[in-house]
Amino acid sequence: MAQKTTTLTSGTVPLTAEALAPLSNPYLEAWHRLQKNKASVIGLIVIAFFTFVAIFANFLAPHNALQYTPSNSYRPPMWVQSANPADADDPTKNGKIEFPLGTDTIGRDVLSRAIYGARTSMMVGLIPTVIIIIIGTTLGMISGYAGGWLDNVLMRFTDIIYAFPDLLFFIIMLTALRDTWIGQLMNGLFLLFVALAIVSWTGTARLVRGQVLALKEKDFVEAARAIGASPLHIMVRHLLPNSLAPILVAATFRVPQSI
Amino acid sequence: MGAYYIRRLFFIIPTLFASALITFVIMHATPGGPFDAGNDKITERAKARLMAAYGLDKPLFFNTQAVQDAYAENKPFYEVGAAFFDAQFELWLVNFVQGKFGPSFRFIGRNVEDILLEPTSLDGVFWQNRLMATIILGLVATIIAVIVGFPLGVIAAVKQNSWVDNLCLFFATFFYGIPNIVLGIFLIIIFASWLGWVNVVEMNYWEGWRPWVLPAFVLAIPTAAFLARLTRSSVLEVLRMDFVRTARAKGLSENVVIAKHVVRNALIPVVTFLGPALATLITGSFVIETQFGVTGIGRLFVESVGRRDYSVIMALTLIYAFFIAIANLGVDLAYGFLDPRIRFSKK
Repeated sequence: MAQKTTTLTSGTVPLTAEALAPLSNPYLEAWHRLQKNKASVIGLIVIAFFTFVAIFANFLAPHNALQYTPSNSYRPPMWVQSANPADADDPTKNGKIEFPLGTDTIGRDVLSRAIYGARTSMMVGLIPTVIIIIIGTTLGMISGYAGGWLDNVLMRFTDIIYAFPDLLFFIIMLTALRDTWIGQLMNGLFLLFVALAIVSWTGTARLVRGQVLALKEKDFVEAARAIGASPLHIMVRHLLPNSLAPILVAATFRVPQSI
Repeated sequence: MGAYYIRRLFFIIPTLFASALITFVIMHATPGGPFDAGNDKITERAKARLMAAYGLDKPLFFNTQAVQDAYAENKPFYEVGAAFFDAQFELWLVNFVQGKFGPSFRFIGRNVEDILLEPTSLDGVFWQNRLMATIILGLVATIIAVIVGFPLGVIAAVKQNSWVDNLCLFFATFFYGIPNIVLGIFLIIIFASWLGWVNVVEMNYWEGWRPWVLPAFVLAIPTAAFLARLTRSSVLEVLRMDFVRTARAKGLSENVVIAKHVVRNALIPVVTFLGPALATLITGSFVIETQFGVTGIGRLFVESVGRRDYSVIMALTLIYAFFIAIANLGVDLAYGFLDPRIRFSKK
């Protein structure tokens, strides 16, 4: 992505805040581009809506999502009403306005459960993704940039984690640490996030490494090295922005996968 | 350059070893054993004898008890040393090196390699077995994913922000969002129930190509969707580069610019993703194999984890690790062809 920069000539232009501000802010530019795309705006609204629902779940949910009433189970959604007068008192045939989407097998309100579910799903979608992107990008970047034996060791390690039997790992993490404080954190969700993240960063790491391998031979990296930029500076300022595209795609697809 | 890849080939051995070691540790640390699952109530004594018969009563790594016994009996030193390694992991390793995966604990009386390689077709042709069923399914799915996903991504990028682009993105997101299990049921209803093109009830997978199409398609869809998005973003990036402008400026037709200059340079993330994706696909999917009744290894694996069938878990994890290692080696080889500037050996 082309980044526009300004050169400051302090002799002719007074150094006011306005003059010092970049001509165009890449974030602002991205925001304008996003506003122009209808699909993105709709997507943004949907995400904002679910975020709102997730944050205010305890105010929005009409019932306690965990409270069960066996006599109230299998209730259909509120628009279902039995035409047969013999079923008038049967909760499994008649919807009720208090339970707009009906109730489940043990009489919990489906709508309230869906509202609280938004909380869990959003966290499961976002938190592991952030961890995965951080681990994957860091390892991929180091591996690709350093090359040689470090690359070999890191990538063989990635191969091992790739082939890891995920299911077994989840079972053992959840059973072994269930009673410790880590297992209790956020109702055990935290443990799930960590377990998901530990086995899923491999794809991102390889994607980033592939990008870095190709990028590090390019002229602008050579130029940065020539003016004495440190490897860390090159990785963060030059290689990272240029390998963002596959990282972003991987991140967006990671969210539904985690959920 | 060639020496690097040959060295990489040898690196598969330590990778497999580490994989085996970690899986072994995790597998045995998981609560429950092969003879605990299910409702079959066996007595403690019968269970102990079963465990002993399969060598599961031995220590996992180092048999210090056997060393003490051997020492007490004044055995020669090499027998004392050998007793130290008379443990489950070493015994498994020795078997594995000889190409034996050991007996299954779920299918009593059969070895893992027999289960994997036993012909499942009626006429019993040797290659028509569980392993091949999954591999064929995965290969077909990969081919479908590439044929569908890659061009879709390129077209979407070239016509960025047009209706074609939006349509491609919509399909990619939509099909990625549908769980396999739902898509599979829909396709079964449409193609088997309504149109009657395939018979999913009495399906013999070794009769022609028809039975493979639906499961392979369902398996391919998420991969194709991801591939399309990845290709699109990668191509978009390359399209803005100077050499593309140069190529256009020197009068090349748009098709040549895209085919020769853009696509080749956009392939790196695509290939990176495809290598492991191929390995993942050819090691099977529990959902699809169950849904379409394919007797493959994906289903076998999930069931073995549930029943703690140790030898099957080890065998299938190692097969997967092997495919992953080979696939990633292939990816690194491909980098060299795609961008000759990429060098792995130290300058």
